[in-house]
Amino acid sequence: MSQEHAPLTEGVYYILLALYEPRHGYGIMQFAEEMSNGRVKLGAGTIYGAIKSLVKKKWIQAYEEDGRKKEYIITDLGKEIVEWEVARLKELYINGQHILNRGDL
Amino acid sequence: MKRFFRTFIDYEREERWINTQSLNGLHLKRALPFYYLYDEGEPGEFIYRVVFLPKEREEYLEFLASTGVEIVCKYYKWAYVRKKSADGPFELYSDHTSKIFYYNRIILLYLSLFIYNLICAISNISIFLTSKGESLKNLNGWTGLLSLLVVILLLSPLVKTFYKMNALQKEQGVFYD
Repeated sequence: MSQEHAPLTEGVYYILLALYEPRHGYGIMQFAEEMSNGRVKLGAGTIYGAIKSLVKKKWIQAYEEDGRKKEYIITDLGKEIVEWEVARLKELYINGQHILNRGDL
Repeated sequence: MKRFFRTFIDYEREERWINTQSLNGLHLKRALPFYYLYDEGEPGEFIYRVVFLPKEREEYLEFLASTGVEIVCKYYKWAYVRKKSADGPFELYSDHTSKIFYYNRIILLYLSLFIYNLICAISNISIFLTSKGESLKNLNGWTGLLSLLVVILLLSPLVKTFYKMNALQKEQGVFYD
């Protein structure tokens, strides 16, 4: 695995995961908080900025507008990025576990 | 209802003052330069944030509103927003990357005001010092002094914000978030 992309920030990672289903800003916020058991609380301004740049990168796109709440969904490119990131995290996790377990023995 | 006549150059001091008022049971209703209107209510019911808006002001505010943030009032490129303190801590920017980006915009704003007022101060004061006996001379003098005062007042928030941004950037070298 080569270093094609910079690692995702936690916020961007959770935003992308949240958008495997169409969600609006508040939905993303709740998703991240629930998935992380309350650890990751994304600020509204942070989500707004991240959505803007992810749309520009074509990792996510607008889904449909219901009234004033705009929903977004992940694109195929976005899914590729998530898969790449999960593989990277897996490598980090396995290597970390490996070193920790060796210490225990 | 209660009125206050005062003004701030440092938006963080303004935000602290508004939140202290909230703790004392006064909740901001309207804010203009030099003028603040408060409603009486439950002490500490709301947490306020003073935000410098991005280019797409309306879109941004609509987005904030859709996440449960209440837009109290806005003035030009600034908005005053709040959330119930019962909902927990209220921050608009939650990670280093977005905080650095936000501080960067604030620094640019302070810096442009600083340079603009510095030029005003220098040119007006030099007109005051060099012109002889013209009727507008004193006006130049006072305008120059006023600009000079703004320059001095801007110095502290400018430096403070710069240091904050710098500290975040340094930390980001170790923690990527």
